[in-house]
Amino acid sequence: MSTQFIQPSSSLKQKVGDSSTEEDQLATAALSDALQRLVPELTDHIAADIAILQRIKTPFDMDKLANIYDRAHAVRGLAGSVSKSELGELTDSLCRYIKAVTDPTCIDHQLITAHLDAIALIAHNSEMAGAASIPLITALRNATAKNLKYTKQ
Amino acid sequence: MAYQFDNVRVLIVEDNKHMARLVRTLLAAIGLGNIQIARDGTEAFEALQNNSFDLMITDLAMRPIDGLEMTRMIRNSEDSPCPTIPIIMMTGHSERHLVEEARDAGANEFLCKPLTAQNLYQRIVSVVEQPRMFVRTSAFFGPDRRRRVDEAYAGAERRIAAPLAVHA
Repeated sequence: MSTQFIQPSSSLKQKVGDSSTEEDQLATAALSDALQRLVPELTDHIAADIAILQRIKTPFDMDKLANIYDRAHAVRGLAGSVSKSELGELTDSLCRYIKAVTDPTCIDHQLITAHLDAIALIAHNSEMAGAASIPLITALRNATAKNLKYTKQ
Repeated sequence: MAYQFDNVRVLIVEDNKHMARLVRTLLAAIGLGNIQIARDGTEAFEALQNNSFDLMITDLAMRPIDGLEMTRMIRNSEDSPCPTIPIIMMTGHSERHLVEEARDAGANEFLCKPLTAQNLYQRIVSVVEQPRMFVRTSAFFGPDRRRRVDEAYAGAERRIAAPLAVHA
């Protein structure tokens, strides 16, 4: 088959017209303002998801893992937008681990508990934000990588 | 002079309602009011068959059909109503293989979370101002994956046939 180049219809450009650098800056500022106004609401949603995570206890099974994944995934998506990047990092590590688990007999309960404890610690202690959280996040990331490497899940 | 987004129809595909609300609110802040939300790829495909949209912003990780599979369906299905619609793929993962998967599925732009005002606006401007030609080969249909000419490339030309220019 020969390579075909197709020019898509440019309805989007025709509809929106042009913009100047100055207007682009104003639009970006409007976006930033809108995001800032949402921060309290999004922070509440993150807190609610973390509260649910804290209620999920060992022993973990695949259903519980699915629930943890959904909550952690939700927190991961929003955390960075509300300047809680540490929570984003931790939930990212947790999601990566859970996504790789296919065999329920290979679930590392301690590793999941450690993630959930770290999430609670950072969520409820403002002094753990920023640089203070780096060693904890790094340790959990390394433990996760090591676990996945040796269990080859 | 500012972009006039009021007549632009956007489909947001996001299974997290809070993230969907975040994206909708941000789009509304720059004048995009004609917005519909679908919760997964299946719902999005149905929405596309029933309505006309100018732009899609979709999450990558969704169930049962994720953003990658949905993009492949939109680009390649015989019953796809809009195979060339601009698609911005959002994800919390930024690994190279995922960016390449999104590109190979036919996404126009890749948007890493966390969402910021700057990166969302840049992606929208990119699909408005730099609409890439679509390429159809036996194995791929989507926006041209070559964003730039590599002057240093000395290997064989892998697009062996002369391109045929047609219009959608």
